[in-house]
Amino acid sequence: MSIDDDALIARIREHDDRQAFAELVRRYQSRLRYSLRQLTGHDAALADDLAQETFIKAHRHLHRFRGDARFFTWLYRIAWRCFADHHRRRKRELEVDAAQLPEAGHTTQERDDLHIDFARALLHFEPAQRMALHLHLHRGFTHQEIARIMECPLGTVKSHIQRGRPKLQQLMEDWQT
Amino acid sequence: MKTDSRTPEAVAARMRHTEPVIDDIDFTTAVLAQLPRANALSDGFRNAIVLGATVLGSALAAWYSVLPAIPGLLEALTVVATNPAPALLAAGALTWGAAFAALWSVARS
Repeated sequence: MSIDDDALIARIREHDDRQAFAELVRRYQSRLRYSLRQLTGHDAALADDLAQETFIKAHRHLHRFRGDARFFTWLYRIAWRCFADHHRRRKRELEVDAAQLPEAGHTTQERDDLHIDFARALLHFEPAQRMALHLHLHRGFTHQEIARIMECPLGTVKSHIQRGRPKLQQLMEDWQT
Repeated sequence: MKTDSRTPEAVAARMRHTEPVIDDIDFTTAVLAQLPRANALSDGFRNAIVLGATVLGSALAAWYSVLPAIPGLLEALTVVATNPAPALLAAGALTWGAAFAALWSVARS
């Protein structure tokens, strides 16, 4: 029987239980690493570094987790900060010249190619818009939840998604040409 | 509403169903290795050790103050005998300090 997140978090808080924290990491590592791969153009090494940083910060700040949202949602808030901070620090390196972006979709046949192509298509967007689109399309978060995760106004989230959607649609239509 | 299989929603839905499970391999181990060291001793246990050492040290100091058999302590014990309270307080403080320093060094190592 698996122990729920709240019980694991209580054990970590009260006894600094490392096994409980390991269980939380194992529980969410795949989804978080996948999300970060989507945000980084499928750069697995960078995504894993950011995921590690996210979990380490989560452990450090677990006493601040109030339990008014799911642990997974709270984890995404930390991941967003890590990703945004990294992007600010390394903006020059991460800036992508649209002309140099891979020709996404031309050879999409395999299951994994779709994930890679989509991640590369997201590179056409600024980080905040990328995050909003990913959380909305892949993770099914509501606009309100995304606003809380990204700590930005609800209107900004709606704008990111409404404006990003046609551009994403265009990019995907180009895959078929 | 568009029902084209290439709409972002349709593609994302396909991706949700085919999202790969990323093997942990050493990921969790790497995260745990980067966490700060766990406190080996709880705060309560740590306080109990310090308190116990202080009581023991004070008791030893009191015991030796009535048995001035150790060479060289006679002069000191004379002071203890004439000013027992401050002397015992000083002995207690020294013992507490030694115990605290020992715990601190264990925690740092």
